[in-house]
Amino acid sequence: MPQQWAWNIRYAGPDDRFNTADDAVTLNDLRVPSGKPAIIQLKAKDVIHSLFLPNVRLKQDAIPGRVTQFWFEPVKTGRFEMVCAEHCGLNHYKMRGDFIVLEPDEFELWLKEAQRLSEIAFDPQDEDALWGWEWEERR
Amino acid sequence: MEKTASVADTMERRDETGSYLGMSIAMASWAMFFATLFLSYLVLRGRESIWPPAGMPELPLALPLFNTLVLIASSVTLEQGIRAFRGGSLIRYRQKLLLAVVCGMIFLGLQLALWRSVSTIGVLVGSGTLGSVFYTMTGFHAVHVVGGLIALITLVSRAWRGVTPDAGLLRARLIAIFWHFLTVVWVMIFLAIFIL
Amino acid sequence: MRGTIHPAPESFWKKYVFSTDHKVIAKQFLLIGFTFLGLGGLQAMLIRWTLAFPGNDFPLIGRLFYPDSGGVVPPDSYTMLFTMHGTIMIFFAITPLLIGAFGNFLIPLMIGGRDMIFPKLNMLSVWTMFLASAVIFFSFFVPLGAAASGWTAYPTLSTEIGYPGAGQTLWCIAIILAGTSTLMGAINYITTIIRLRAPGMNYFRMPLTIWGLWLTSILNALFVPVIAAGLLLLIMDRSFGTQFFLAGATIPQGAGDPILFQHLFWIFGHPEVYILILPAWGIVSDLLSFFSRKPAFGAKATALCMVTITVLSGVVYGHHMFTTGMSALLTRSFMLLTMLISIPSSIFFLNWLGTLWRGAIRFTTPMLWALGVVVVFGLGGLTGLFLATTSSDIYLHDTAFVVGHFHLTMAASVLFGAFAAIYFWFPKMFGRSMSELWGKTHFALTFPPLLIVFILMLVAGNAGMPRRIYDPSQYDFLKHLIPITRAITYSALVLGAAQFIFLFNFLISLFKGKKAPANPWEVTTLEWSVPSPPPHHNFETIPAVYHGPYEFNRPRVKDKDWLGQHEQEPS
Repeated sequence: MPQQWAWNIRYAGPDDRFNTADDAVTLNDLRVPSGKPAIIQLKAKDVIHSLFLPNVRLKQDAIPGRVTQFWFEPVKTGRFEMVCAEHCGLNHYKMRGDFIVLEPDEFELWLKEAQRLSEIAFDPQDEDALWGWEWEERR
Repeated sequence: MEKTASVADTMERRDETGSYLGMSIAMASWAMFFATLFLSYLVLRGRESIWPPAGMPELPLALPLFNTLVLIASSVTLEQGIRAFRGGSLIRYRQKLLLAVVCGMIFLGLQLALWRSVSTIGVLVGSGTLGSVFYTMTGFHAVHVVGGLIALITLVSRAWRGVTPDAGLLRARLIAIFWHFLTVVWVMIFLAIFIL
Repeated sequence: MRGTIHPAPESFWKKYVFSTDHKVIAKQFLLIGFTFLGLGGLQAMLIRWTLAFPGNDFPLIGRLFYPDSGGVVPPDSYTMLFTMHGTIMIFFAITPLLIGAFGNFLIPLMIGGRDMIFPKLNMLSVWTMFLASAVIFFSFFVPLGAAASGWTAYPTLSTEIGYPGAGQTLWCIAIILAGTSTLMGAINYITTIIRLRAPGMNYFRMPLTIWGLWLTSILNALFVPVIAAGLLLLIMDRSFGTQFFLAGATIPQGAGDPILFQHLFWIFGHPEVYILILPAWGIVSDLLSFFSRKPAFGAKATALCMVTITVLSGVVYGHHMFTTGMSALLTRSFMLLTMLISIPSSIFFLNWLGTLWRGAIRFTTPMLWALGVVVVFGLGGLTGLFLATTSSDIYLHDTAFVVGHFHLTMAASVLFGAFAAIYFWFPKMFGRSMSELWGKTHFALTFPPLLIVFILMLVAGNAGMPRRIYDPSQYDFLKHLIPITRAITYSALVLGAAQFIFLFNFLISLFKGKKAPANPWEVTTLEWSVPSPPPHHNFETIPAVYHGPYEFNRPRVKDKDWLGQHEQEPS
């Protein structure tokens, strides 16, 4: 979920649902395993943003009030960047994030660690932090 | 200094067809304007699963229905007046014209009453999509009615000063086109917002 | 209207300020257009400087505009710059120049009329444009500054959430006023062309310039009201608490739809780009014929292609929204229609080449600019195909590739067309000639830098350079593009400087230029059959028209290689 001016990212944990304690939540750090399709859903918090991953040559607008989706299957590992591709205000130009493609086993290791850290920070009372939505397959 | 025209000139003191053509294009533009408002309404309504949206009351029907008839009456009266004018009957023209103006003013007065009544049942300008659509469409229409009334009142003033059909019929008919257009738009707003 | 000759106005005010004479109103639009062209151009220089030399103050006048930051453009001002650059160029430079000035000046003269059919409406139109100009100019000076959400003004950034303050609202009002002026003009142009053509001037004997202006006016009449409605709804959201476009976490009951605005905007926005270029297409079609001393190849087909494009322009707008999560059906439909609309443009492009082929080409200044249009429009048009194709557009959307594409097709083509028109019709408008030498120099110093600027932008965009970014060096993957960014800026600075040549040529020729004869270019259209400048009533007697404007090298015409539309071929 992008906002002015950062990328909030959430991975559903083994329970396959958002907003539960086993989610991994990161800021400006999107990691995916190579060789597997990754589906990303977007919903902006405030104004329209657009997630642009130049290295997979894809972008999708993130719109407040509705969920958009795109998918890709990365084949190369490496550290790349993600860019905001829709003018979103003052710091639009700084809305940079890391986009990292890892080998599948490295990814699993990282995800476990990220989940562990998120679980420590999990607070069921914090509504702002529980921004995830019901996962529905979309176009 | 007047120059005489040559054989190749055609003497037309005033191009009536041209005026009607210009007015038609203006009406097409205005139609596109209101069509955009209708489109916005339909899109916003289509995205809601129920209408009126949750927490919003049903809009009243009786007052806008009556008002629709008032506006239609105004158009009909205006058209009768113009026919009379064309036939040379200035007195009948004046009467019908005045009646049309009065009906138009009643329409505006009743619109204000409608807004007050709707706001007391909880639909305000800021009341989500229903409020937005209701006040915007009726509001923009009303603004145009005010403009149309001003134009009609200029016709009244000319009629009272004894204008002849030769000098005044074209202007009256052009303004009437605008007035009838507003009536048609209102009927569509009525159907779309209050009936649908 | 057609036959009578009204006495010319006497007082200064009626002659130059409150005139209903289309020729004077044309010059008023020219003044507005030039002023904002200069302002928009200055903004472009500021943008390019910031991109190439972030953190450096703009030379000479930087401190004047941005005293608090020592002459460096701050990020929030940068967003205002690109927003207002686009807005000003489209609504306050190109529209007044091509449609306001040349539409007004040429339509009555080229069709054989004495004036527009609604002269008072015409005067109202230019005064509404003055009012709009005042509003947009004033919007720079309100607290929180001018509009800054891009000329596309997408909500929710353009609502109070993104940009509170009067500037954005004033921007909406200024565009609505400018649109109103355009609508008044459109009604006038369409009706005048239909009703006031001289005897014998049937539609296919009209010069293609008039076809361009006529079709542009039809599009204006239909689609400007759409943006007016959209912007009024945005004003309602900003100032009256409605929720047409508001959604997201910050809205408790967010049932508005930001994408609705995009639809409304682009339903207008796409026809708008055709509105901007149709007059230029018409002008170039005519000039290529005139300066090749050959008929416009396939003139009727060109006119019909322009009609087809006019009709199709309303149904291709979705290609601006491919990344918003559209359904496959919609994306494919818009892609197909967008590719279809490229076909008529290609046809009349080939007609241009057919006109040039084996012509006796006269490389006058207007001709050079017209040839320039052929190049930049051809190139820009081709790049459009990559953007029409959804799969490549997903990557290229919102990159410098798009910026390069629309500057080539819209800015370069239209501006070159405007320069061609100005050099060509200056003698008729002002009764004096501009310097050919300096005109050609202007072209030589504008054309190559322009190509460099926008071709390099295409390259940078292809490498992933996003648009509307204050400082691309924030991103590692863009660091290798810094030399390209600098090269673009250096070329742009040369391009900007070259325009002063035009300015001086124009101003000096206005007062000191050689007096022009009635028909210095030896061409066939009706405006050249009257003195330069034309008298108040245009024609002593309304001419009868015997053929189209492309009669060159008629065998029975012995003394010249052209035949005016009002002249009969000797038997």
